[in-house]
Amino acid sequence: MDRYQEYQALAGRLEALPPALEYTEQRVRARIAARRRWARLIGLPAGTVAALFLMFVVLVNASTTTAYAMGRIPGLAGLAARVALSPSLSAAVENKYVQPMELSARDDRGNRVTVEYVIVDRKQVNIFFTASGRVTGEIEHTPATDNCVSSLTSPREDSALYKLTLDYLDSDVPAMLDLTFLAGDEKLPTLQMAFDPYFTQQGRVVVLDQWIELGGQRILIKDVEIYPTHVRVRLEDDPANTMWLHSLELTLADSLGNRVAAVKNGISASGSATPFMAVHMLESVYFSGGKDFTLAITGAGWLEKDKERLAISTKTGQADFLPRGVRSISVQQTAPGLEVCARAELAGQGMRQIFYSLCFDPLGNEYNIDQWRSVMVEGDEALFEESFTVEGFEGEYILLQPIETAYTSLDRPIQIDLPRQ
Amino acid sequence: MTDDQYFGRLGQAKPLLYKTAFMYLGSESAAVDAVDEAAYKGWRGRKKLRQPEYFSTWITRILINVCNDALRRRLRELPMENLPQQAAEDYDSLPLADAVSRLPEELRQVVVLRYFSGLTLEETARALGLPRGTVTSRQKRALALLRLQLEDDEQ
Repeated sequence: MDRYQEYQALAGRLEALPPALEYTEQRVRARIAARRRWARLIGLPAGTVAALFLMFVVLVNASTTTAYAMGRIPGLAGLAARVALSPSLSAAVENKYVQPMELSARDDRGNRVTVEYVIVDRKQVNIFFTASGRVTGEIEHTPATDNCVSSLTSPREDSALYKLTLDYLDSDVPAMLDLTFLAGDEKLPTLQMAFDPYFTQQGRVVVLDQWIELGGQRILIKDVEIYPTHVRVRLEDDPANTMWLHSLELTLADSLGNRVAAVKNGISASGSATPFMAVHMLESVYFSGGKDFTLAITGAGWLEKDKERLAISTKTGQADFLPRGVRSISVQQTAPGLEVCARAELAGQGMRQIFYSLCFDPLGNEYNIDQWRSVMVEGDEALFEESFTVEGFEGEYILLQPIETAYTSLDRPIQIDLPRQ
Repeated sequence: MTDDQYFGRLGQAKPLLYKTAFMYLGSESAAVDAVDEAAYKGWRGRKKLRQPEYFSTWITRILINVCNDALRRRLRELPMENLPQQAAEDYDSLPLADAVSRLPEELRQVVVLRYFSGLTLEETARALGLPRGTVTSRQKRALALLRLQLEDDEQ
Protein backbone atom coordinates (compact mmCIF):
# COMPACT_ATOMS: atom_id res chain seq x y z
CA MET A 1 0.00 0.00 0.00
CA ASP A 2 1.56 3.32 -0.99
CA ARG A 3 1.29 6.49 1.06
CA TYR A 4 -1.70 7.82 -0.87
CA GLN A 5 -3.57 4.56 -0.45
CA GLU A 6 -2.74 4.71 3.26
CA TYR A 7 -4.21 8.19 3.38
CA GLN A 8 -7.38 7.07 1.61
CA ALA A 9 -7.77 4.11 3.96
CA LEU A 10 -7.26 6.27 7.03
CA ALA A 11 -9.61 8.99 5.81
CA GLY A 12 -12.20 6.33 5.01
CA ARG A 13 -11.88 4.84 8.46
CA LEU A 14 -12.59 8.21 10.04
CA GLU A 15 -15.96 8.36 8.24
CA ALA A 16 -17.24 5.56 10.51
CA LEU A 17 -18.30 7.52 13.57
CA PRO A 18 -18.53 5.52 16.83
CA PRO A 19 -21.99 5.02 18.35
CA ALA A 20 -20.89 6.73 21.58
CA LEU A 21 -20.56 9.99 19.68
CA GLU A 22 -24.32 10.05 19.19
CA TYR A 23 -24.81 10.76 22.90
CA THR A 24 -22.31 13.59 23.32
CA GLU A 25 -25.13 16.06 23.83
CA GLN A 26 -26.74 13.85 26.46
CA ARG A 27 -23.55 13.53 28.46
CA VAL A 28 -22.79 17.22 28.26
CA ARG A 29 -26.35 18.17 29.25
CA ALA A 30 -26.01 15.84 32.27
CA ARG A 31 -22.80 17.62 33.31
CA ILE A 32 -24.53 20.95 32.89
CA ALA A 33 -27.52 19.79 34.95
CA ALA A 34 -25.20 18.49 37.68
CA ARG A 35 -23.32 21.77 37.70
CA ARG A 36 -26.55 23.74 38.07
CA ARG A 37 -27.80 21.51 40.90
CA TRP A 38 -24.56 21.65 42.83
CA ALA A 39 -24.53 25.39 42.35
CA ARG A 40 -27.93 25.57 44.10
CA LEU A 41 -26.57 23.44 46.94
CA ILE A 42 -24.11 26.11 47.95
CA GLY A 43 -26.97 27.90 49.70
CA LEU A 44 -27.68 24.95 52.09
CA PRO A 45 -26.55 25.10 55.75
CA ALA A 46 -23.07 23.71 56.27
CA GLY A 47 -22.90 20.12 57.60
CA THR A 48 -26.32 19.16 56.30
CA VAL A 49 -25.12 15.74 55.19
CA ALA A 50 -28.58 14.27 54.94
CA ALA A 51 -29.70 17.04 52.62
CA LEU A 52 -26.63 16.53 50.45
CA PHE A 53 -27.29 12.79 50.25
CA LEU A 54 -30.91 13.37 49.36
CA MET A 55 -29.84 15.73 46.61
CA PHE A 56 -27.47 13.11 45.24
CA VAL A 57 -30.18 10.46 45.22
CA VAL A 58 -32.54 12.88 43.50
CA LEU A 59 -29.74 13.63 41.05
CA VAL A 60 -29.28 10.05 39.93
CA ASN A 61 -32.99 9.35 39.93
CA ALA A 62 -33.79 12.36 37.75
CA SER A 63 -31.16 11.75 35.14
CA THR A 64 -30.02 8.25 34.45
CA THR A 65 -26.97 9.52 32.61
CA THR A 66 -25.82 11.75 35.43
CA ALA A 67 -23.91 9.16 37.42
CA TYR A 68 -22.20 8.00 34.26
CA ALA A 69 -21.22 11.56 33.43
CA MET A 70 -20.03 12.19 36.97
CA GLY A 71 -18.01 8.98 36.96
CA ARG A 72 -18.90 8.24 40.59
CA ILE A 73 -21.44 5.62 41.59
CA PRO A 74 -22.06 5.30 45.33
CA GLY A 75 -21.76 1.91 46.90
CA LEU A 76 -20.37 0.28 43.78
CA ALA A 77 -17.16 -0.88 45.39
CA GLY A 78 -19.07 -3.16 47.75
CA LEU A 79 -21.37 -4.69 45.15
CA ALA A 80 -19.35 -7.87 44.62
CA ALA A 81 -19.39 -8.58 48.35
CA ARG A 82 -23.18 -8.49 48.40
CA VAL A 83 -24.03 -10.73 45.46
CA ALA A 84 -22.13 -13.24 43.32
CA LEU A 85 -20.99 -11.68 40.06
CA SER A 86 -19.92 -13.49 36.92
CA PRO A 87 -16.50 -12.56 35.48
CA SER A 88 -18.30 -10.43 32.90
CA LEU A 89 -20.28 -8.47 35.46
CA SER A 90 -17.22 -8.10 37.69
CA ALA A 91 -15.40 -6.50 34.76
CA ALA A 92 -18.41 -4.27 34.10
CA VAL A 93 -18.37 -3.06 37.70
CA GLU A 94 -14.61 -2.44 37.60
CA ASN A 95 -15.14 -0.31 34.51
CA LYS A 96 -18.09 1.52 36.13
CA TYR A 97 -20.38 0.14 33.48
CA VAL A 98 -23.32 0.42 35.86
CA GLN A 99 -26.48 2.51 35.77
CA PRO A 100 -27.77 3.51 39.21
CA MET A 101 -31.55 3.30 39.59
CA GLU A 102 -32.70 3.88 43.22
CA LEU A 103 -36.31 2.93 42.51
CA SER A 104 -38.46 1.60 45.35
CA ALA A 105 -41.88 0.06 45.72
CA ARG A 106 -43.63 -0.95 48.93
CA ASP A 107 -47.01 -1.84 50.31
CA ASP A 108 -48.54 -1.56 53.77
CA ARG A 109 -47.91 -5.23 54.57
CA GLY A 110 -44.17 -4.81 55.06
CA ASN A 111 -43.26 -5.87 51.50
CA ARG A 112 -40.64 -3.68 49.92
CA VAL A 113 -38.23 -3.80 47.01
CA THR A 114 -35.52 -1.33 46.01
CA VAL A 115 -33.77 -1.58 42.64
CA GLU A 116 -30.30 -0.16 43.28
CA TYR A 117 -28.44 -0.67 40.00
CA VAL A 118 -28.72 -2.23 36.59
CA ILE A 119 -26.02 -3.49 34.28
CA VAL A 120 -27.55 -3.48 30.83
CA ASP A 121 -26.56 -3.78 27.19
CA ARG A 122 -28.37 -4.51 23.96
CA LYS A 123 -29.30 -8.08 24.92
CA GLN A 124 -29.24 -8.49 28.69
CA VAL A 125 -30.44 -6.67 31.78
CA ASN A 126 -29.04 -7.40 35.23
CA ILE A 127 -31.18 -5.90 37.96
CA PHE A 128 -29.69 -5.59 41.45
CA PHE A 129 -32.35 -5.22 44.10
CA THR A 130 -32.96 -5.59 47.82
CA ALA A 131 -36.17 -7.10 49.07
CA SER A 132 -38.01 -7.57 52.34
CA GLY A 133 -41.24 -9.19 53.39
CA ARG A 134 -42.61 -11.77 50.96
CA VAL A 135 -40.81 -10.46 47.90
CA THR A 136 -38.75 -13.29 46.40
CA GLY A 137 -37.80 -12.03 42.96
CA GLU A 138 -40.83 -13.29 41.07
CA ILE A 139 -41.80 -10.58 38.60
CA GLU A 140 -44.04 -9.48 35.82
CA HIS A 141 -42.69 -7.10 33.22
CA THR A 142 -43.89 -5.18 30.23
CA PRO A 143 -43.18 -5.17 27.44
CA ALA A 144 -43.43 -8.93 27.87
CA THR A 145 -41.94 -11.19 25.26
CA ASP A 146 -41.60 -14.94 24.75
CA ASN A 147 -37.99 -14.23 23.87
CA CYS A 148 -37.00 -13.15 27.34
CA VAL A 149 -35.66 -15.65 29.88
CA SER A 150 -35.11 -14.68 33.50
CA SER A 151 -32.84 -16.12 36.18
CA LEU A 152 -32.42 -15.11 39.82
CA THR A 153 -29.27 -15.09 41.97
CA SER A 154 -29.77 -15.02 45.73
CA PRO A 155 -27.81 -12.68 48.00
CA ARG A 156 -24.56 -13.64 49.66
CA GLU A 157 -24.68 -14.28 53.38
CA ASP A 158 -25.32 -11.11 55.42
CA SER A 159 -26.59 -9.35 52.34
CA ALA A 160 -30.04 -8.66 50.99
CA LEU A 161 -29.00 -7.88 47.42
CA TYR A 162 -30.46 -10.09 44.69
CA LYS A 163 -29.54 -10.18 41.01
CA LEU A 164 -32.24 -10.78 38.43
CA THR A 165 -31.03 -11.37 34.88
CA LEU A 166 -33.23 -10.97 31.82
CA ASP A 167 -31.79 -12.44 28.64
CA TYR A 168 -33.38 -11.23 25.42
CA LEU A 169 -32.82 -14.03 22.96
CA ASP A 170 -34.02 -12.58 19.66
CA SER A 171 -35.26 -9.07 20.35
CA ASP A 172 -33.30 -6.22 21.93
CA VAL A 173 -33.62 -4.88 25.46
CA PRO A 174 -36.39 -2.25 25.35
CA ALA A 175 -35.71 1.38 26.14
CA MET A 176 -38.03 1.18 29.14
CA LEU A 177 -39.22 -1.70 31.29
CA ASP A 178 -42.18 -1.71 33.65
CA LEU A 179 -41.33 -4.11 36.45
CA THR A 180 -43.82 -5.46 38.99
CA PHE A 181 -42.50 -7.52 41.89
CA LEU A 182 -44.80 -10.12 43.42
CA ALA A 183 -45.14 -10.59 47.16
CA GLY A 184 -47.03 -13.87 47.45
CA ASP A 185 -50.38 -13.27 45.74
CA GLU A 186 -50.01 -9.50 45.91
CA LYS A 187 -48.27 -7.14 43.55
CA LEU A 188 -46.18 -4.19 44.56
CA PRO A 189 -46.55 -0.89 42.70
CA THR A 190 -44.94 -1.05 39.27
CA LEU A 191 -41.45 0.40 38.84
CA GLN A 192 -40.69 2.16 35.58
CA MET A 193 -37.08 1.61 34.59
CA ALA A 194 -35.61 3.75 31.81
CA PHE A 195 -32.29 2.46 30.49
CA ASP A 196 -29.58 4.86 29.46
CA PRO A 197 -29.41 4.52 25.67
CA TYR A 198 -25.62 4.66 25.89
CA PHE A 199 -25.72 1.24 27.57
CA THR A 200 -28.45 -0.34 25.46
CA GLN A 201 -26.50 0.51 22.30
CA GLN A 202 -23.43 -1.41 23.45
CA GLY A 203 -22.46 -4.51 21.54
CA ARG A 204 -20.90 -5.41 18.21
CA VAL A 205 -21.36 -8.23 15.74
CA VAL A 206 -18.42 -9.96 14.06
CA VAL A 207 -19.69 -11.78 10.99
CA LEU A 208 -17.95 -15.06 10.19
CA ASP A 209 -20.23 -17.17 7.95
CA GLN A 210 -17.75 -20.03 8.18
CA TRP A 211 -18.64 -23.71 7.85
CA ILE A 212 -16.87 -26.23 10.06
CA GLU A 213 -17.01 -30.01 10.23
CA LEU A 214 -17.45 -31.35 13.73
CA GLY A 215 -18.23 -34.95 14.67
CA GLY A 216 -19.05 -35.69 11.06
CA GLN A 217 -21.65 -32.88 11.01
CA ARG A 218 -21.53 -29.51 9.23
CA ILE A 219 -22.13 -26.42 11.33
CA LEU A 220 -22.16 -22.82 10.11
CA ILE A 221 -20.65 -20.30 12.50
CA LYS A 222 -22.66 -17.25 11.49
CA ASP A 223 -21.32 -14.58 13.81
CA VAL A 224 -19.96 -13.70 17.22
CA GLU A 225 -21.77 -10.97 19.13
CA ILE A 226 -19.71 -9.25 21.84
CA TYR A 227 -21.66 -7.47 24.56
CA PRO A 228 -20.44 -6.03 27.87
CA THR A 229 -22.34 -8.72 29.79
CA HIS A 230 -21.68 -11.78 27.61
CA VAL A 231 -20.68 -13.10 24.20
CA ARG A 232 -23.01 -14.97 21.85
CA VAL A 233 -21.89 -17.37 19.16
CA ARG A 234 -24.66 -17.90 16.61
CA LEU A 235 -24.81 -21.06 14.51
CA GLU A 236 -26.84 -22.75 11.83
CA ASP A 237 -26.84 -26.40 10.97
CA ASP A 238 -26.89 -28.31 7.71
CA PRO A 239 -30.31 -29.98 7.15
CA ALA A 240 -28.39 -33.07 6.02
CA ASN A 241 -26.83 -33.51 9.48
CA THR A 242 -27.76 -36.71 11.29
CA MET A 243 -27.45 -35.16 14.75
CA TRP A 244 -28.70 -31.97 16.45
CA LEU A 245 -25.98 -29.94 18.13
CA HIS A 246 -26.88 -29.38 21.80
CA SER A 247 -23.76 -28.24 23.63
CA LEU A 248 -20.33 -26.92 22.70
CA GLU A 249 -17.04 -26.90 24.59
CA LEU A 250 -16.07 -23.46 23.48
CA THR A 251 -13.60 -20.74 24.48
CA LEU A 252 -12.79 -17.27 23.18
CA ALA A 253 -9.29 -15.89 23.64
CA ASP A 254 -7.72 -12.55 22.80
CA SER A 255 -4.20 -11.60 21.83
CA LEU A 256 -3.43 -10.54 25.41
CA GLY A 257 -3.91 -14.05 26.75
CA ASN A 258 -7.38 -13.50 28.20
CA ARG A 259 -9.61 -16.54 27.71
CA VAL A 260 -13.30 -16.93 28.47
CA ALA A 261 -15.50 -19.99 28.52
CA ALA A 262 -19.20 -20.76 28.65
CA VAL A 263 -21.50 -18.95 31.03
CA LYS A 264 -21.84 -21.08 34.16
CA ASN A 265 -24.69 -19.46 36.06
CA GLY A 266 -27.39 -18.44 33.64
CA ILE A 267 -28.41 -19.24 30.10
CA SER A 268 -25.57 -21.05 28.33
CA ALA A 269 -27.34 -21.90 25.08
CA SER A 270 -30.68 -21.40 23.38
CA GLY A 271 -32.55 -22.84 20.43
CA SER A 272 -35.99 -22.60 18.89
CA ALA A 273 -38.30 -25.06 17.18
CA THR A 274 -35.83 -27.97 16.82
CA PRO A 275 -33.40 -29.46 19.38
CA PHE A 276 -30.56 -27.63 17.58
CA MET A 277 -29.02 -25.06 19.96
CA ALA A 278 -28.31 -22.12 17.69
CA VAL A 279 -26.92 -19.65 20.21
CA HIS A 280 -24.15 -20.39 22.72
CA MET A 281 -23.21 -17.93 25.43
CA LEU A 282 -19.75 -17.18 26.80
CA GLU A 283 -18.42 -14.77 29.37
CA SER A 284 -17.56 -11.41 27.88
CA VAL A 285 -14.29 -10.07 26.50
CA TYR A 286 -15.72 -6.58 26.08
CA PHE A 287 -13.48 -4.97 28.70
CA SER A 288 -10.43 -7.14 28.12
CA GLY A 289 -8.65 -4.59 25.94
CA GLY A 290 -7.74 -7.26 23.40
CA LYS A 291 -8.30 -6.71 19.70
CA ASP A 292 -7.61 -10.04 18.00
CA PHE A 293 -9.86 -12.89 19.09
CA THR A 294 -9.78 -16.63 18.43
CA LEU A 295 -12.67 -19.03 18.93
CA ALA A 296 -11.66 -22.57 19.92
CA ILE A 297 -13.98 -25.60 19.89
CA THR A 298 -12.80 -28.67 21.79
CA GLY A 299 -15.97 -30.75 22.03
CA ALA A 300 -19.66 -31.01 21.30
CA GLY A 301 -22.72 -32.81 22.69
CA TRP A 302 -25.30 -34.13 20.22
CA LEU A 303 -28.80 -35.54 20.02
CA GLU A 304 -28.96 -38.14 17.27
CA LYS A 305 -31.97 -37.56 15.07
CA ASP A 306 -33.01 -41.21 15.23
CA LYS A 307 -32.81 -41.22 19.03
CA GLU A 308 -35.02 -38.29 19.96
CA ARG A 309 -37.30 -40.55 21.98
CA LEU A 310 -36.21 -43.28 24.35
CA ALA A 311 -38.65 -46.06 25.19
CA ILE A 312 -38.36 -47.70 28.62
CA SER A 313 -40.47 -50.70 29.60
CA THR A 314 -42.30 -49.93 32.82
CA LYS A 315 -42.32 -53.66 33.62
CA THR A 316 -38.70 -54.64 33.01
CA GLY A 317 -36.94 -51.27 33.02
CA GLN A 318 -35.34 -52.20 29.68
CA ALA A 319 -34.35 -49.14 27.64
CA ASP A 320 -33.85 -48.95 23.85
CA PHE A 321 -30.53 -47.28 24.41
CA LEU A 322 -28.79 -45.15 27.01
CA PRO A 323 -28.24 -41.38 26.57
CA ARG A 324 -24.75 -39.93 26.62
CA GLY A 325 -22.83 -40.81 29.76
CA VAL A 326 -25.75 -42.68 31.34
CA ARG A 327 -24.76 -45.95 33.04
CA SER A 328 -28.23 -47.20 34.01
CA ILE A 329 -31.93 -46.31 34.13
CA SER A 330 -34.51 -47.80 36.51
CA VAL A 331 -38.26 -47.29 36.72
CA GLN A 332 -40.79 -48.09 39.43
CA GLN A 333 -44.53 -47.71 39.37
CA THR A 334 -45.79 -46.05 42.56
CA ALA A 335 -49.08 -44.62 43.73
CA PRO A 336 -48.38 -41.05 42.56
CA GLY A 337 -47.02 -42.21 39.21
CA LEU A 338 -43.88 -43.59 37.62
CA GLU A 339 -40.55 -42.99 39.31
CA VAL A 340 -37.58 -42.82 36.96
CA CYS A 341 -33.96 -42.80 38.08
CA ALA A 342 -30.89 -42.47 35.84
CA ARG A 343 -27.27 -42.75 36.91
CA ALA A 344 -24.74 -40.93 34.78
CA GLU A 345 -21.10 -39.94 34.65
CA LEU A 346 -20.17 -36.44 35.63
CA ALA A 347 -18.96 -34.42 32.65
CA GLY A 348 -16.73 -31.33 32.65
CA GLN A 349 -19.51 -29.08 33.87
CA GLY A 350 -20.65 -31.41 36.67
CA MET A 351 -24.23 -32.60 37.00
CA ARG A 352 -26.39 -31.93 33.97
CA GLN A 353 -29.99 -32.48 32.94
CA ILE A 354 -30.39 -35.84 31.16
CA PHE A 355 -34.00 -35.68 29.94
CA TYR A 356 -36.31 -32.94 28.71
CA SER A 357 -39.36 -32.17 30.83
CA LEU A 358 -41.94 -33.53 28.37
CA CYS A 359 -42.59 -37.29 28.06
CA PHE A 360 -45.26 -39.52 26.49
CA ASP A 361 -47.22 -42.70 26.99
CA PRO A 362 -47.85 -45.31 24.25
CA LEU A 363 -51.00 -43.46 23.17
CA GLY A 364 -49.07 -40.22 22.63
CA ASN A 365 -50.47 -38.45 25.72
CA GLU A 366 -48.12 -35.81 27.10
CA TYR A 367 -46.86 -35.65 30.67
CA ASN A 368 -44.87 -32.81 32.16
CA ILE A 369 -42.09 -33.46 34.63
CA ASP A 370 -42.26 -30.67 37.20
CA GLN A 371 -39.57 -31.60 39.68
CA TRP A 372 -36.17 -33.21 39.26
CA ARG A 373 -33.74 -34.30 41.90
CA SER A 374 -30.04 -34.51 41.10
CA VAL A 375 -27.62 -35.84 43.71
CA MET A 376 -24.15 -37.28 43.79
CA VAL A 377 -24.00 -41.05 44.11
CA GLU A 378 -22.73 -42.02 47.54
CA GLY A 379 -19.42 -43.76 47.41
CA ASP A 380 -18.68 -42.83 43.79
CA GLU A 381 -17.46 -39.31 43.06
CA ALA A 382 -17.71 -39.86 39.32
CA LEU A 383 -21.47 -40.50 39.21
CA PHE A 384 -24.64 -38.57 39.85
CA GLU A 385 -28.29 -39.54 39.88
CA GLU A 386 -31.20 -37.73 38.23
CA SER A 387 -34.64 -38.84 39.38
CA PHE A 388 -38.19 -37.64 38.92
CA THR A 389 -41.80 -38.81 39.23
CA VAL A 390 -44.12 -38.68 36.24
CA GLU A 391 -47.38 -38.10 38.07
CA GLY A 392 -50.41 -40.08 36.99
CA PHE A 393 -48.47 -42.10 34.46
CA GLU A 394 -49.73 -45.51 33.44
CA GLY A 395 -48.63 -47.58 30.47
CA GLU A 396 -46.48 -50.46 29.33
CA TYR A 397 -43.67 -48.17 28.39
CA ILE A 398 -42.73 -44.53 28.73
CA LEU A 399 -41.18 -42.38 26.03
CA LEU A 400 -38.61 -39.96 27.40
CA GLN A 401 -36.70 -37.30 25.42
CA PRO A 402 -32.98 -37.46 26.06
CA ILE A 403 -31.04 -34.22 25.78
CA GLU A 404 -27.78 -35.70 24.47
CA THR A 405 -26.99 -39.12 23.07
CA ALA A 406 -23.48 -38.67 21.70
CA TYR A 407 -20.36 -36.61 22.31
CA THR A 408 -17.41 -35.50 20.18
CA SER A 409 -14.14 -34.75 21.88
CA LEU A 410 -11.39 -33.14 19.78
CA ASP A 411 -7.71 -33.75 20.44
CA ARG A 412 -6.92 -30.72 18.32
CA PRO A 413 -9.33 -27.81 18.80
CA ILE A 414 -10.99 -26.20 15.82
CA GLN A 415 -9.70 -22.64 15.90
CA ILE A 416 -11.30 -19.72 14.12
CA ASP A 417 -9.70 -16.28 14.08
CA LEU A 418 -12.21 -13.47 14.21
CA PRO A 419 -11.59 -10.71 11.69
CA ARG A 420 -10.36 -7.55 13.38
CA GLN A 421 -13.01 -4.84 13.62
CA MET B 1 -27.03 31.53 22.00
CA THR B 2 -29.57 29.28 23.73
CA ASP B 3 -28.70 25.76 24.84
CA ASP B 4 -30.71 24.30 21.97
CA GLN B 5 -28.97 26.53 19.46
CA TYR B 6 -25.61 25.58 20.91
CA PHE B 7 -26.31 21.86 20.74
CA GLY B 8 -27.79 22.19 17.28
CA ARG B 9 -24.55 23.71 15.97
CA LEU B 10 -22.50 21.22 17.97
CA GLY B 11 -24.32 18.33 16.33
CA GLN B 12 -23.30 19.58 12.91
CA ALA B 13 -19.69 20.04 13.99
CA LYS B 14 -19.33 16.68 15.73
CA PRO B 15 -17.95 14.65 12.80
CA LEU B 16 -15.26 17.27 12.21
CA LEU B 17 -14.41 17.37 15.90
CA TYR B 18 -14.22 13.58 16.20
CA LYS B 19 -11.94 13.21 13.17
CA THR B 20 -9.63 15.92 14.49
CA ALA B 21 -9.51 14.39 17.96
CA PHE B 22 -8.88 10.90 16.58
CA MET B 23 -5.91 12.10 14.52
CA TYR B 24 -4.49 13.83 17.60
CA LEU B 25 -5.11 11.14 20.16
CA GLY B 26 -5.11 7.94 18.14
CA SER B 27 -8.02 6.10 19.77
CA GLU B 28 -11.77 6.11 19.41
CA SER B 29 -12.48 6.33 23.14
CA ALA B 30 -9.97 9.11 23.74
CA ALA B 31 -11.41 11.01 20.79
CA VAL B 32 -14.98 10.69 22.11
CA ASP B 33 -13.81 11.88 25.55
CA ALA B 34 -12.08 14.85 23.96
CA VAL B 35 -15.19 15.78 21.98
CA ASP B 36 -17.24 15.59 25.20
CA GLU B 37 -14.76 17.82 27.01
CA ALA B 38 -14.60 20.34 24.18
CA ALA B 39 -18.38 20.40 23.93
CA TYR B 40 -18.68 21.11 27.64
CA LYS B 41 -15.99 23.80 27.59
CA GLY B 42 -17.58 25.31 24.53
CA TRP B 43 -20.92 25.50 26.30
CA ARG B 44 -19.32 27.21 29.27
CA GLY B 45 -17.59 29.73 27.02
CA ARG B 46 -20.37 30.20 24.46
CA LYS B 47 -20.97 33.80 25.41
CA LYS B 48 -17.47 34.64 24.20
CA LEU B 49 -18.36 33.64 20.63
CA ARG B 50 -19.35 36.91 19.05
CA GLN B 51 -19.94 35.60 15.53
CA PRO B 52 -22.00 32.40 15.67
CA GLU B 53 -21.40 31.79 11.97
CA TYR B 54 -17.84 30.86 12.88
CA PHE B 55 -18.98 28.28 15.46
CA SER B 56 -17.24 25.29 13.87
CA THR B 57 -13.81 26.89 13.70
CA TRP B 58 -14.24 28.28 17.20
CA ILE B 59 -15.16 24.91 18.73
CA THR B 60 -12.33 23.29 16.74
CA ARG B 61 -9.86 25.60 18.45
CA ILE B 62 -11.24 24.51 21.81
CA LEU B 63 -10.95 20.88 20.81
CA ILE B 64 -7.32 21.24 19.74
CA ASN B 65 -6.50 22.74 23.13
CA VAL B 66 -8.27 19.82 24.84
CA CYS B 67 -6.28 17.35 22.74
CA ASN B 68 -3.01 19.09 23.49
CA ASP B 69 -3.82 18.99 27.21
CA ALA B 70 -4.43 15.26 26.91
CA LEU B 71 -1.16 14.77 25.04
CA ARG B 72 0.75 16.76 27.67
CA ARG B 73 -0.74 14.54 30.39
CA ARG B 74 0.46 11.50 28.47
CA LEU B 75 3.97 13.00 28.22
CA ARG B 76 4.06 13.60 31.96
CA GLU B 77 3.23 9.95 32.52
CA LEU B 78 5.97 8.77 30.16
CA PRO B 79 9.58 8.58 31.47
CA MET B 80 11.96 10.83 29.56
CA GLU B 81 13.98 7.94 28.15
CA ASN B 82 10.86 6.55 26.50
CA LEU B 83 9.96 9.70 24.60
CA PRO B 84 10.27 9.05 20.87
CA GLN B 85 12.70 11.22 18.97
CA GLN B 86 11.74 11.54 15.36
CA ALA B 87 14.30 12.32 12.69
CA ALA B 88 12.99 13.69 9.41
CA GLU B 89 13.85 10.53 7.50
CA ASP B 90 11.94 8.33 10.01
CA TYR B 91 8.46 9.59 9.05
CA ASP B 92 8.65 7.54 5.91
CA SER B 93 8.98 4.33 7.84
CA LEU B 94 5.99 4.93 10.10
CA PRO B 95 2.33 4.13 9.40
CA LEU B 96 0.65 7.33 8.30
CA ALA B 97 -1.42 7.85 11.47
CA ASP B 98 1.68 7.48 13.66
CA ALA B 99 3.66 9.76 11.41
CA VAL B 100 1.02 12.48 11.65
CA SER B 101 0.93 12.20 15.44
CA ARG B 102 4.71 12.68 15.59
CA LEU B 103 4.81 15.82 13.48
CA PRO B 104 5.71 19.03 15.25
CA GLU B 105 2.54 20.57 16.65
CA GLU B 106 2.44 23.52 14.24
CA LEU B 107 2.56 21.17 11.26
CA ARG B 108 0.30 18.49 12.70
CA GLN B 109 -2.61 20.81 13.38
CA VAL B 110 -2.58 22.09 9.82
CA VAL B 111 -2.46 18.70 8.13
CA VAL B 112 -5.13 17.22 10.44
CA LEU B 113 -7.56 20.06 9.84
CA ARG B 114 -6.89 20.34 6.11
CA TYR B 115 -6.71 16.71 5.06
CA PHE B 116 -8.54 14.66 7.68
CA SER B 117 -11.14 16.93 9.20
CA GLY B 118 -12.13 18.53 5.92
CA LEU B 119 -11.64 22.22 6.68
CA THR B 120 -10.88 24.66 3.87
CA LEU B 121 -7.74 26.74 3.83
CA GLU B 122 -9.72 29.73 5.06
CA GLU B 123 -11.39 27.75 7.87
CA THR B 124 -8.08 26.27 8.96
CA ALA B 125 -6.46 29.69 9.08
CA ARG B 126 -9.33 31.04 11.15
CA ALA B 127 -9.36 28.03 13.50
CA LEU B 128 -5.64 28.38 14.16
CA GLY B 129 -5.51 32.14 14.15
CA LEU B 130 -2.92 32.13 11.34
CA PRO B 131 -2.51 33.91 7.99
CA ARG B 132 -3.44 31.85 4.94
CA GLY B 133 0.13 31.97 3.69
CA THR B 134 1.43 30.45 6.90
CA VAL B 135 -1.09 27.63 6.68
CA THR B 136 -0.06 26.99 3.06
CA SER B 137 3.64 26.81 3.83
CA ARG B 138 3.12 24.59 6.88
CA GLN B 139 0.94 22.15 5.02
CA LYS B 140 3.59 21.86 2.30
CA ARG B 141 6.27 21.09 4.86
CA ALA B 142 4.05 18.58 6.62
CA LEU B 143 3.15 16.74 3.43
CA ALA B 144 6.80 16.63 2.42
CA LEU B 145 7.76 15.05 5.73
CA LEU B 146 4.95 12.54 5.43
CA ARG B 147 5.91 11.75 1.84
CA LEU B 148 2.31 12.36 0.95
CA GLN B 149 1.29 14.03 -2.28
CA LEU B 150 -2.13 15.57 -2.10
CA GLU B 151 -3.59 18.16 -4.44
CA ASP B 152 -4.70 21.46 -3.03
CA ASP B 153 -7.04 23.34 -5.33
CA GLU B 154 -7.10 26.31 -3.00
CA GLN B 155 -3.42 27.26 -3.34
